[in-house]
Amino acid sequence: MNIKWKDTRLIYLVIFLVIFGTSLTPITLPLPVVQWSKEFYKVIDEGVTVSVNPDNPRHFAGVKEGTRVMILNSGETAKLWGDMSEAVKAVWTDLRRRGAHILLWSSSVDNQAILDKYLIPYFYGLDPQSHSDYGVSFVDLGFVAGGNALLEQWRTSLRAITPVDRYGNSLADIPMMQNFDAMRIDCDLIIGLDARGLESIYVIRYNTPVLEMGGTDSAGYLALSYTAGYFQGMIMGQRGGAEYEFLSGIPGRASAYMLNSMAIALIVTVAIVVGNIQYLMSRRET
Amino acid sequence: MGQQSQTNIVQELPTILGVIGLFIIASLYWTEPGWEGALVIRNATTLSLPFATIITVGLLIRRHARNIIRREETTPYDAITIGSAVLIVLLGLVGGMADPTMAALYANVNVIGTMAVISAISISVFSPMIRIYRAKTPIMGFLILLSILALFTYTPIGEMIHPAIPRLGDFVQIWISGASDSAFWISTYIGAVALITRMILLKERLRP
Repeated sequence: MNIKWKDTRLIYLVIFLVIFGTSLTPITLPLPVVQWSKEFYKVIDEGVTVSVNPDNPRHFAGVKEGTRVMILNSGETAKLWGDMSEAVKAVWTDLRRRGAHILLWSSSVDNQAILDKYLIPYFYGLDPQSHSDYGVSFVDLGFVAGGNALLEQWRTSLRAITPVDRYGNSLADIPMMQNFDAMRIDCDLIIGLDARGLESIYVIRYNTPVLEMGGTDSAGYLALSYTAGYFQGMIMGQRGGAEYEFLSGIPGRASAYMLNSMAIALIVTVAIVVGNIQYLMSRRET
Repeated sequence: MGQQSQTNIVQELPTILGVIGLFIIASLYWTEPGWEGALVIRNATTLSLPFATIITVGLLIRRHARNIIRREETTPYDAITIGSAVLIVLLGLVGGMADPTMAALYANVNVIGTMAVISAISISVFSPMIRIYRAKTPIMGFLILLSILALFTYTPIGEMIHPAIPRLGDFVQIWISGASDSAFWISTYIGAVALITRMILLKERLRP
């Protein structure tokens, strides 16, 4: 076999081997925790007072037994899952550990399918509605069409327009849903999975605490809502997952995945630098 | 020239007024207690969304059926597109999302396919970074430095070199990238409202 060492495709082979190798022997590396991740954990652990609407400040005391948390699986979760998976698992584990009542909604079939395949079975098995938590501390609305218009209508009553969960069970008969109806007052905390537009629906008017989770590139468009004070914290990408694992002490795989990221970043950086040195040298020769 | 501009503005006056009107109606969704008329329009819009989806699927099938009738070179692709679209529509109409076949298709084709495409896009980003990221101009050099800064910010490397590196990367992400992204979306939304207004005023051809 004649190997051409200048073939740039070798770099992809090296990247693949590095990912494969570092996945087999994961090592946890030191990682700086950014402010929005610290605040995300602080909201869940200690709580926050939201006063975007100064007339009616709202105090949230952190996630405790029975805290009503709505998870809005309503962004690009299906596409970003490879970058969000471990963070969502760590946060979900923490919510369950603290005894939260989790209500899940998916805004698209794709988003529902991705959680059905990679998240829900991890926590509740292959038949979630038979799990002992179902109806007590977890309810899945599944895919309900309507997007943010739906959230706008749910603020006054969820059951008025969405009377059943994804399995057809009447929400009125589910124990967890007895005090979980008018989202503007009944929902203690909203966690958006790459969700947009929550500021105008819930934060500006009702001071509902909102946390956001997304892929690394989601930070670009979610950051301004965070810096403006609408989101109380954010967890972005596998890096955010690693940060949450560190802050919460919950063991997970995100920390180890950072070794992959670091190795790839090093290879790409070296390739860019070497390519530019070659370019500069060739320009001097001509 | 001045008269031409004046004529254009006069011609577009209904569009301008329509855009302003739509913004006002949309804004009234968010006020308390709100305006009942805005809520009615919002509800009507929500209810009409599935019809837009139906029309889009119909147009998709019609376009590919036309290609097959004309015996275009893309016939195999057209046949697969129509077949898969009709299959999904039929499964949805018969059993909805609870249908086991539909669920299995989503879990094993759609989910895997989406992640494969996204992974392929991510990996392919490396290709131009490695092959054509050359500092031929000062701007290109600046972009290369920003790319390396991003790589060092979102991995432990930056922190290992100096704590200021991830801080600088976060600043770029929040303020520069965040602001430009918001500007993009705001301008996109304004453009979308203008387009909808022109469609309502029958100023846009609706034929695909």
